[in-house]
Amino acid sequence: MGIRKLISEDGLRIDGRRLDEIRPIRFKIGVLKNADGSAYVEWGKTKILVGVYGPREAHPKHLAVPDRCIVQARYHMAPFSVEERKSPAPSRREIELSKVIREALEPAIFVEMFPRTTIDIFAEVLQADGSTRCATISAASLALADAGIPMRDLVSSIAVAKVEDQIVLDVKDEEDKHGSADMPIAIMPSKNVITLIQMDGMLTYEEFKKAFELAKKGCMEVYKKQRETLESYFKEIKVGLENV
Amino acid sequence: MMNGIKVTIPGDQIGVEEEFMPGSGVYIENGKIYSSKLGLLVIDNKNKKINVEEKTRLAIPEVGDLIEGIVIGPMREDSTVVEIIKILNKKDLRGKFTGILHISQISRGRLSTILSAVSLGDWILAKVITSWPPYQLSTLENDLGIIYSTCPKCGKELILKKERLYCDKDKIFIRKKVSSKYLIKED
Repeated sequence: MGIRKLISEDGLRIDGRRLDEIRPIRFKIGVLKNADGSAYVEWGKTKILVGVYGPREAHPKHLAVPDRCIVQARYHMAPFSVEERKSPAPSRREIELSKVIREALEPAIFVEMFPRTTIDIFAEVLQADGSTRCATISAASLALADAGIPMRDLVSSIAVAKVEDQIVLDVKDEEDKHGSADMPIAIMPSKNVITLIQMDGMLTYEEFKKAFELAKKGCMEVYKKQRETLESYFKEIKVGLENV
Repeated sequence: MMNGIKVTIPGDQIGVEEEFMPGSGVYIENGKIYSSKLGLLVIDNKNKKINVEEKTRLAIPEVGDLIEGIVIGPMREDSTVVEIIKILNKKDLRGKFTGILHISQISRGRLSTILSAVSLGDWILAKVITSWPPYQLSTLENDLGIIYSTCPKCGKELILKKERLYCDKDKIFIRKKVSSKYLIKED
């Protein structure tokens, strides 16, 4: 554990948040002209750009599956996204996160509607400050909606952690590094379905239950933000069309 | 709500099965109707149909769509490959889709070989007749077929003259399955 305490005596975390408070989240949709759908998210200091392409023909063609479309995700951290330069080559961690992100989003997509095609999701982390996978999943589901891909539901995601024996919501980089456990979860909020749950470290049964409830509450807050963003984006483009 | 219209996002419950017929942009699960897209909720009370009107239509070929494509070959005896570059009435393609034009779907008359109807590099207007890649294409109708082509001898643009393709320079007619919407017509 570091010299600084991660949670002060009056119950505030290093960035001044309460234990169950999320960082300010700002989504923006339709930021990339060349992509079919795109989203940008600022999640505290975490900044991620997501582009979605497809459904399009799968290349190389042997990847295509006859009865559904495949979903391909690429999570990548820019060399300047962390304090020390990160090699731009995909690391073990990035390959794992790409898989995890793909599997968190795939249940929400009607893949069987587009046989022999692919949907490609590209996420570029511009600045990393913890919870990048959660931010990527949440932003990617907005980008998918922007692309017009039929979905069962949006996917909202957030991480919880155990820091100095307390359960905290929306994990920051330092809390992730020096905490004793962390657990990212992704849910489809109106379906009440979990699409991703991972855990590092140890939680007791009671702690897990508490963390899980807290994460669900956090996901609903993220969902509210996603909803607002989508609605205002849609109104923006609709109004724009009327003026033409 | 905005001006009495409702924006729905994927996963919103917009009705139950007993109320409406599901239209586009919606799906049914356990008897309830949900939106599957970001769009406007449109209820057709006359036909009891519920739709989600999208922002843009997905740029993916569907059965019945008209497409523009280029014959890229290889020219087999009975079929050839067409690169789909545009779907009419849909947003621009970000990538390319592959289509296949079979000899039986080119023209109503008998063709001994595909080369008597299309050749490499021709631009064609065709209809999509299957629903996944590689898409089967058809140019059987009169307004479908080649919309732009060049002379096999000199490479000059061919013009439509008396419903046939004609090369100004070589003074020859070239037999092809030409569309009534051919781009360069004799004035």
